[in-house]
Amino acid sequence: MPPSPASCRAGRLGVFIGVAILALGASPRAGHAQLAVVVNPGNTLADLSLDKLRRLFLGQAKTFPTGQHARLARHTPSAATFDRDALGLQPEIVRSRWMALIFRGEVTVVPTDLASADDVKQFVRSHPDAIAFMPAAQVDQSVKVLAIDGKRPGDSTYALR
Amino acid sequence: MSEGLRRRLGAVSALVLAGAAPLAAQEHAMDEAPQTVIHGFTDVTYLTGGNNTGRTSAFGLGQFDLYITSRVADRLTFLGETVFEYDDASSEFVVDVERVIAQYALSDHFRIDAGKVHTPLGYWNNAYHHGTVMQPTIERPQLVQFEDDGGPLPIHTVGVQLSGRDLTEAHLGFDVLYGNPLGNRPASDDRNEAGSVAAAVHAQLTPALRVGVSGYRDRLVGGTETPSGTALDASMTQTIAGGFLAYFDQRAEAVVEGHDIMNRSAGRTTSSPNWFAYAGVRAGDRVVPYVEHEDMRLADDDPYFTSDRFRREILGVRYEQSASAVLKLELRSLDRRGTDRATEAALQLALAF
Repeated sequence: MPPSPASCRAGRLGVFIGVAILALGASPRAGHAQLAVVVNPGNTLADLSLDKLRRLFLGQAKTFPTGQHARLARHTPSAATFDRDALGLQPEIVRSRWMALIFRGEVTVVPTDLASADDVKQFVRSHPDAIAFMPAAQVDQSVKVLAIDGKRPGDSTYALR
Repeated sequence: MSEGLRRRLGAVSALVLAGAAPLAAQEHAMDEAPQTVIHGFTDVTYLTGGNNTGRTSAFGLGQFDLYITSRVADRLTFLGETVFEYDDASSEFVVDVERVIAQYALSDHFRIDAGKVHTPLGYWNNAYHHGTVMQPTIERPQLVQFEDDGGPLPIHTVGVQLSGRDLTEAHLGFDVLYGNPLGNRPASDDRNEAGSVAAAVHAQLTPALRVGVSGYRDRLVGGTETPSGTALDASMTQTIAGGFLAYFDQRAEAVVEGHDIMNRSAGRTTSSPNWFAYAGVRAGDRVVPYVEHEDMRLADDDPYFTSDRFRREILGVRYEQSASAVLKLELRSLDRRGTDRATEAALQLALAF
């Protein structure tokens, strides 16, 4: 007996769903470490609000509270932790937000991704307007750690725990 | 664009550029050659549904969208978006230049755009463009649907736009656009010299919450082609007033947007209030169930639109594998003029590349 039109439609729909899910695959999730927000030692800023930090790394603001341009960089191995802890968003949502900003014409550059803590420190030392995040344990005197809402890494209520 | 409008836009541009504040820093050292990046969007949708005249089911190719950005010079960026799509009228694939923008960054807070832009009306039209992977539903709400797909708003405008972002402690933003009137063709002379004006003010109250209002005013001469293809009997003034609230955080998302389109001609004004609401709740990292309600009405005896009443309810779920790959499934109920009712299901795979 030939299949009914309804079962043909259901079959085509099932095949389409299956192919789509197989095509999408799976992605890994990153680990977790306490992070520090760092700037160039010449930056006069000492404290940043969590709200301003979020606006900067979501592309909604382009300047420090002082009015100085902010150049963003991300420590790639810590990015997932930063997105969840500081921005309160899943990493893919953050990626999606930046994609949307580019396609709207709101931004022309995205944060610079850096693979190691040494790369982050080198970047921040080289750019007076830089701001980045990196593992707090790997910070040294070459960069300046910002307090976030008045709290520093190690404080019990520090936002990027 | 007429010679008159071209001269006025040139004068405005010159004034703004002359007053530009220096950027605090440049992101990259500029090479001699422009730095050009090409992205693309596409989607495939399976639609099945029926009304009192029968059932249909089919796969459909969405728009194939190529998006180009290029840093042309210090502070100057080019943005272009070209869409290849199937045209029912000609039964052929056609090419549409959807956005062509020369963008000049006056500072970290101000920029000027010249070219073909999305008119700064409401939230959806500026947050989402032609890549369906970016928008939360399979299709744009009918109110903000593209002009050639029956949308009532002037979605695109050719002109010059001044924008401000992240201003004051309230994180205010604005857009002011002066451009060609409705019915104008971007490569031919204006039918009228008046031009259109659009203005929007919005505030990013928190990183998740954005609110805003917008307005549009345009004067069309008699003879201008209407969306149904007929010619306007007499000159007409179109005024659009609207507002929106948009909220997107880790768990919940919502957009409520409405516009009243008021057309005045021969001493008589018609009002067409339209709105839609979208809400979704994130269930886990990647899955977002959502609902949408749309209510659109185009006034009886309107001089520009064909009278219409359209309502649509959507129950959907979105699976976000990544920012570049999204699967959406929707069940929809449509009601046009209270008599033409339909139910349908749609499944879409949308990609960015």
